[in-house]
Amino acid sequence: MAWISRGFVKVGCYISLAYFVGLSHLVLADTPMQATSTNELRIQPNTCVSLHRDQACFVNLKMSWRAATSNNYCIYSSAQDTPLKCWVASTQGVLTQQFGTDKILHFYLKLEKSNIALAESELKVSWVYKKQQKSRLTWRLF
Amino acid sequence: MYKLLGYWFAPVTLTVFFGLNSLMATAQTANEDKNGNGGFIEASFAFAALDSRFVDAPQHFGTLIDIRINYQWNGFFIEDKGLSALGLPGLGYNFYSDPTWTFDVYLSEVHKGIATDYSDTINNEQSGLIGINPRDSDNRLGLRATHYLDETSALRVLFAPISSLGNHDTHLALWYGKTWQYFNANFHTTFSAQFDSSKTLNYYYGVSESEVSDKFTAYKAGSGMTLGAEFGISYPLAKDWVLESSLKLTRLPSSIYNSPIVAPKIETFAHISIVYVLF
Repeated sequence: MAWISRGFVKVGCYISLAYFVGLSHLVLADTPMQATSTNELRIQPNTCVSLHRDQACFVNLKMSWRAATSNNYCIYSSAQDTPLKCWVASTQGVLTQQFGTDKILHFYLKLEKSNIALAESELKVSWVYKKQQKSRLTWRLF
Repeated sequence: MYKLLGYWFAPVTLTVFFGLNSLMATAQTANEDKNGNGGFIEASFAFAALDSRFVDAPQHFGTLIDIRINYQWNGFFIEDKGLSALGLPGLGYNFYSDPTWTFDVYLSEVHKGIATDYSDTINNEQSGLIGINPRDSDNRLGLRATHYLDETSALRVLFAPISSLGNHDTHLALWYGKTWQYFNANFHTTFSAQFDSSKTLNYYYGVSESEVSDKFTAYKAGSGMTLGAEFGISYPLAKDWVLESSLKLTRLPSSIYNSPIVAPKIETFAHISIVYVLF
């Protein structure tokens, strides 16, 4: 019977250890969220798929951002110098906009009138058929 | 039997394709642009409807599995579009190419066999032809020229005088095709005209004395022109998956309208497919 109770104790120790490790992990994971709440910019979807190589890919992109402190923020894309949209005295925002591109697009969260990106996201462009224009044209047609 | 084979091949093919996909994709990316080499292999799973040209063919609506291969290597190429476009396989060699013209030596099946055990037909499309002697497929060697009118349209001519049937005659075909994009959807349309000699058309659609019965009266076909039109749409669902649909109309030559072998003057084929692209 002794080995059974020793076994229970051992299992109990492992469970306790696992519990505390898990708890501390949770605590540790929560800590930076509370302390810093890092700025973030998320896009959805993050890949746009077009049929043929070098074709423009069209996507209805949802961009959502949040920041640690309230301020005037803007979202920029690598396709244009002017902001896509700005928010006044905000800590978060959502923008849905359609894009057509044949290249990777980068999106940035910046403070208004600042050139420093606080957060960044990337829209990848992928295609189904990778062959060059001429062959794929006739392969598709005839 | 073919249906059963199709069901058996489907999972096997898919397994192999999925397994090879990453390997082939890597190899493809490495060399696709250096000398025009490259291509794609894809499997299509279609819901299709067919109003066949053949007499007493049932009106079909069913599922089809289709493998398509298009690949080019140092001028040599293979094209098998399955049910799309002409639906006839071919291979050849490209001996001249500039930005607006390409010229190929081309070996292709220009007419499918009729009433043969291995006729590549959709289900029992030719079940109404019992009593008709088998006709072999017409494989022809010829010259093919393609003129690229712009980035989205092309004109193609095929002159194929050498036939596996031993006919010393002419098969001449002309196609015009155009594609355009609306958001991520790609549309295409083609128009075609194919001329066949009386020898060829009579081989397929004539009824000889040895075949005459109550159902099949003697018939001699003359030369004629087959006209075709196709409209289709392709939409990328994901990096390797495409949704496709097309409608194809083929107007048979007037010289075979009264052949006992054919029923409607216009053959119609429509499908909606999910396509998995291997690379």
